[in-house]
Order: sequence, then structure tokens, then C-alpha cells
Amino acid sequence: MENLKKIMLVDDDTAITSLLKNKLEKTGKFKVVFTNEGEQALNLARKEKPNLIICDIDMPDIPGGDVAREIFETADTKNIPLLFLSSLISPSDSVNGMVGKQHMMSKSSKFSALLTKIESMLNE
Amino acid sequence: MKDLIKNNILIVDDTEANIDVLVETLGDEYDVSVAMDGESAIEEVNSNPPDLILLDIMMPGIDGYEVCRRLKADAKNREIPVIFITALGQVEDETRGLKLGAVDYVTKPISPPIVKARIENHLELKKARDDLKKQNEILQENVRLRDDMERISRHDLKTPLNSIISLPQILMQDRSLAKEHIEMLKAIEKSGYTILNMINLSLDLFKMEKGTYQLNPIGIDLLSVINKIIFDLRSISEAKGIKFNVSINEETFGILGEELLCYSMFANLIKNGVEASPSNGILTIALSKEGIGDAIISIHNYGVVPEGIRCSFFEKYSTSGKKSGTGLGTYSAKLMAETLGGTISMFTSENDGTTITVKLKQAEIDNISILSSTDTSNNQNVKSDMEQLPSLKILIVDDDEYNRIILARYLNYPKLNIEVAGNGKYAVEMFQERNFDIIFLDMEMPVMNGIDAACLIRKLESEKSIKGKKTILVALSGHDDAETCEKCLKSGFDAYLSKPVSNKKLRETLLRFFSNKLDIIDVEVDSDLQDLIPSFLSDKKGELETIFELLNKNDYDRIQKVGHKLKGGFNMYGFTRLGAISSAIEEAAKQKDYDKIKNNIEFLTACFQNIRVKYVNMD
Repeated sequence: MENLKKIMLVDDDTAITSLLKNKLEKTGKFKVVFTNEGEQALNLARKEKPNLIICDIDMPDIPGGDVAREIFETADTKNIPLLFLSSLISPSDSVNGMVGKQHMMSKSSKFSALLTKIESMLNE
Repeated sequence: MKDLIKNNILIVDDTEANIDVLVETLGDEYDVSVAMDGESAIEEVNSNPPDLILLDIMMPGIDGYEVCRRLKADAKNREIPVIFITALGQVEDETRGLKLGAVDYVTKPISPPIVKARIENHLELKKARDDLKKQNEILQENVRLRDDMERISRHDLKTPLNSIISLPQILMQDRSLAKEHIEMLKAIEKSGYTILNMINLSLDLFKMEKGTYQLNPIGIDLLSVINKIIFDLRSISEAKGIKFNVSINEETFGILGEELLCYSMFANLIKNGVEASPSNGILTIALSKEGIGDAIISIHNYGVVPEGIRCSFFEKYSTSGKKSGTGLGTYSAKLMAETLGGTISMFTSENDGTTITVKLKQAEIDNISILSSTDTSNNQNVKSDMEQLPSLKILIVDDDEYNRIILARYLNYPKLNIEVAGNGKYAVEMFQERNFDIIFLDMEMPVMNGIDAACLIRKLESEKSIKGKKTILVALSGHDDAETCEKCLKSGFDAYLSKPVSNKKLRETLLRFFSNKLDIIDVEVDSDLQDLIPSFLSDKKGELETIFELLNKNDYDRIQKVGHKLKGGFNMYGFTRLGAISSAIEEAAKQKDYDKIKNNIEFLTACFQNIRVKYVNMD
């Protein structure tokens, strides 16, 4: 139980949060918390202090960009690294990985690629 | 008589007196060369490698140990035996020399007979070692050659077989042919299939020998297999006046095995029995069940196995003086019986003749027969199946003209527009000029092979970025191992057909990709997700129903959202084909295109109902 990195998921689709929670926790390296409501993201981040946030970029009710802005503008959460997941891009797109300074990955990426991305962000 | 070529011995010593003694001792029997210090010894070895070196230890400059170390460090000199000449005579010095790789040592003062004897020993040892090494190289070369031959003959034989099997099928469509001509064509086609089966089986045997054969046993009815064998062997059995007597208590006889494997094994054994039996004799095949789960098959004839080969009856290359016998029949039967998890034994006596007994495992019969459904399937069915195809543009790429003709003839339907190309380069050029729905690509072609062409086509597609429009690429190959298949699928091919390609396989491939009637969609899902899948699928089912209701209300905004959610979920769980259709729904909703949405929802629902989930370990 010691030294598990805490990852917070934000996605309106319960199928996706349960999938990622299942797969990430199976690696034995992470503890996963999640919310399916974008509005709850900031509260959860302040309460849980995760090492990394993975956030769906295109949620129907509140865009992922707004969630991220709230988190970056709040003092006690602004340094938490954030990774966007998007189904608008494909794993072969050149933007898969980084868009400007923002970390972004395709939802169709292989889990192993996602894992590599997470680990490299945690080590930065 | 000594060898015509004398062995060459290098003496390394800085004391002339020692050299003189040694030269005198060895000069008659060996070519002797001399070096007075370490450096020149190494030079001499490099320019004129000796068969053995006598090496003094205490020398000015580099000493004997160092000379030895350097020689042993050099791969080309490593094998030359080194004998130390040591005045030191102390155990540690000798062990040090031996540890450096010297084969022996002699102590000063030198005793000529002892030196001679030791040198002789070591030269003989070296010769024996060299011979063994050479022999080993030859053996390895032979094994490689045999493997190459297996592969080459298998592949190269299959290409001409393509014509032998396929051209009769095409000719037989000619209605003006006389009945006997059709019979002849059928005979050619059947022989082609026989050769094909032999080639396939020979590779299987090779795999069984190496223990790499992948057995996929099912429950089969051995009785029907045996009846088919008896029918196929009727020409040789009738010529010899042999009668068959099949004794069984039931109507079927289920065993666990592979149909083709059992056919080959028992055809071998029964044919042997017919050949060994006295003329006008009776060959008895008895099928019985024994104990818990054992199936016993015994084949008896009144011939007697000659005493000389009884012990080696099932060994490789054991024959009973048959002119054409390869000695592989019984051996392969044994291999096959053991591969099926069974045993085989033989009993022979002057009075009772010979009985071969095979013990296999009983099983319930699965209702699949490979042998009875081999090729020409129901033509009526095929025709109506082909009706389901939309109009298609097809490109056939093969360097063999006959193969091109054959494939084009198979696909001779009004709705199919066929073009051909002789190599990958032409194919890519034609692809750039006009789009094709499906391209059949041979793997081995001059100028540009199939894999390179496929990679190039995929690259061109991604540059053009034609969304959702992807040409189906089908690989045609003379190899049918899993490795080649995987390699093709990884290079961007959608399907893989091994040669010779039958009419049926070709049509099935077209139907698989273009039929309006949907086939089962196999989806590989990470086994980690096993617990999540049922609720995932029922959620998605609910969303599909929702989206239909939304369409009735013309609520395009929400259709777009649900389509988006479907897309994300399906892609993430590995249902990429469904993800792509969901994506089309989302796009169509943006454009408020009612018909397009409706078509895609219906398509998605149909696909969804035809999913077959398979759990695989993805790590």
C-alpha cells in the first residue's frame, strides 16, 4: 500500500472511468479516484491531492478545457500535472502526446502507451 | 607408413642447447621451425600456423605464459595445442600453464622418448577434434539443407498446383463438354487436391517430429472416415481381390482427433494391409470401445511381417522390401497416433497373420466434417450469396498470368469490375489513378512484392486522408504458417489467403467484407476487462435504443452527444469497428442528415448483435 501514486479521473462516461480504474489499479502502482461530473473535478482534486489528473476533453455538459482552467487557476491544485484524453484524435495523429504545452492522448491509444505517458509525466 | 604430409611443430626456446636436443629428437618425423623469443614466436604462428607448439616459459622479453595467453586470445590460433617446456618443475607453475590453455607440459632436462610420445598423443587428439568439428559442420549444413528443401518444395509446388486445381474447375463450367471430359477434369482436380494434401501433411509430419504440431482435436466419426478410405482404396483392393470386413457394434464411432490426420493415418495402415495381404484375402477392421474412454481400432490381414523388420516395424525408413516403399508409412502412422495422444502396436505370427492395433480416445461426435465439405460447395447458395454484393472495383495483382486468369474467372460476375496487374509497382500506380474497393496482392512478385505494395498503399491513403474510405487488401501467399499470416496482417493487410485459393475461399472473402448480410464480428478484448464487459454491453445497448428514440424526435444535438459517447466507449474497450460507425453517426448528426443517421444506427445495431467477444491477454 505504500507509495501508491494517486490518479484522478474525470470523465462523464462511467464505462471509461471504470475501465481505466480497473486497468490502472491492476498495475499495482496506482490508487485511482474518479468523478463522472466535470463540476465535481475541482472539489475532488482539492480533497484528494492526486499526483496526476486524467481528464476527458470533450464532455457534453462541461468541456474538459473549463475543468482544466479551474484546476490551473486554483493555488493548491495548479501544479498537478493534467493529461487530456480525447476521442477527436487518433493514436497516429501527430498531436497525440502533446498539443503545445498540454499533454493529450487519443482515447483509442493502447493502454501500454497511456501507461508510458502517465509514468513519464509523474517523473517530470 | 607415415602421413605424406608431415606435421609442423614450432619450438620456442631462447637456449640453443635445448633447441638442438629437440630438433634432433623431432627432426625426422616432423617439419620443425624455431623461434628464439616470444615476439618472433607469435609472428611465426601468424605467418605459418604450426600443428603444435613447444613453448619455453622463461625467456627474455615476453615469457611463455604471455605468448600462450596471446595465442589463446586469438580465435584463429586458439585451437593449436601448446605444450610448455618447464625447468621450474613446480606444481603451481604447471597449473598456471594449464590454466592458460596449454594441453600439457614437459620438464627439463628433456627426455626425448617422453617428448615424442606426448607430442604424438596431442597431435592425434587434435586431429580427432578437427575431424569431429568438420563432421559437425557437415551435419548442421545437412539439417539446414533439409529444412530449406522442405520449405522450398512446399512453397514452390503450391504455385503450379494452383493451375492444376483451378483450371479444371473453370473448364467444367463449359456446358458443351462431354460427360467423359468432365470426368477427366474431375480426376485432374482430385489429383491436385491429393498432392496438396500430401504437401500439407509432409510439413505436418515434420512438425510432429519436432513436437511443434498444434493439435486441434474434435469429436469425429471414425467409421465414416474408414468407409471413405475403403472407398478411395477400391482400385487397389479390387485388383487384388481383397474383401473388407468392418466389425462394429454401433452406428457411429466417435473418437477425439483431427479428421484429416485420422484419414492419413488409417489410409496408410489400411493400404499397407491391402498390400501385405495374400490375394483374395480378407482385411478385417474392428472398432471397439474399451475401459473408460479408450477406442480400439485393429486392422488385421493374413500376411506376415518378415522377421527381420518386426522389431523396427514402426521406425523411420523401415521397409519390407517394397520396391517403392519409403519406409515412412508406418513411421508416420506412429507419429500421428502419438500426436493424437494414442498408441500403436503390431502383432504378427505365421499362423494368425498381422494385426495393427491403434488406441485412441473416445469422444462425442462434433457435427463438423472437413472431408465431406472440402471444395465444390452448393452452387446455388454461392450464387445467391454473390447477389448480396454491391458493385465493386477489384484489382488482382500477381506475377503469374495463370493465377490472374483464374482469380478473374472466379470473380466473373456482372457487378464486379475486375482489373489485373503483374507486380506491386503497377498495382500502386493503378491505385493512385483510381480507387479500388478491394485489392488481392500476391506476396512474392518481382520489382515490388506484396508487402511493400501494401505498405505504400496504406501510406498513400493516410496522406490523402480519405476518411472512412479504406481499400481492403488481401494477401495471397504460398505459405500458410501463422508467422507469415501475422506478418501480412501487421503490414496493413485485412485478410490473408493461402494458395491455392479456391473459388469458395475467394467468394467468402468478398462476402466477409462487402456482404449486406453481416457475419459474426470477432472482437478481441483484454481479459482484464472480463468483469466489466457485460455491464458495458448492456449500457451500450441502452444507448443504442436511446439514440433511435432521439432520431424520432429529431433531436440532433443529443444524437451527436450519444454518438460521441458510443464512439469513445467502443474505441476504448477495443470495439474499434463499432467505434467507427458511432463516429459516422456523430458526424451525420452534426449535418442533421436524417437518412445517414438512420442507416448508420441500423448498421451499428446489426453489428452490435453480431459481436462475438473473445478475451485475450493483451500484455
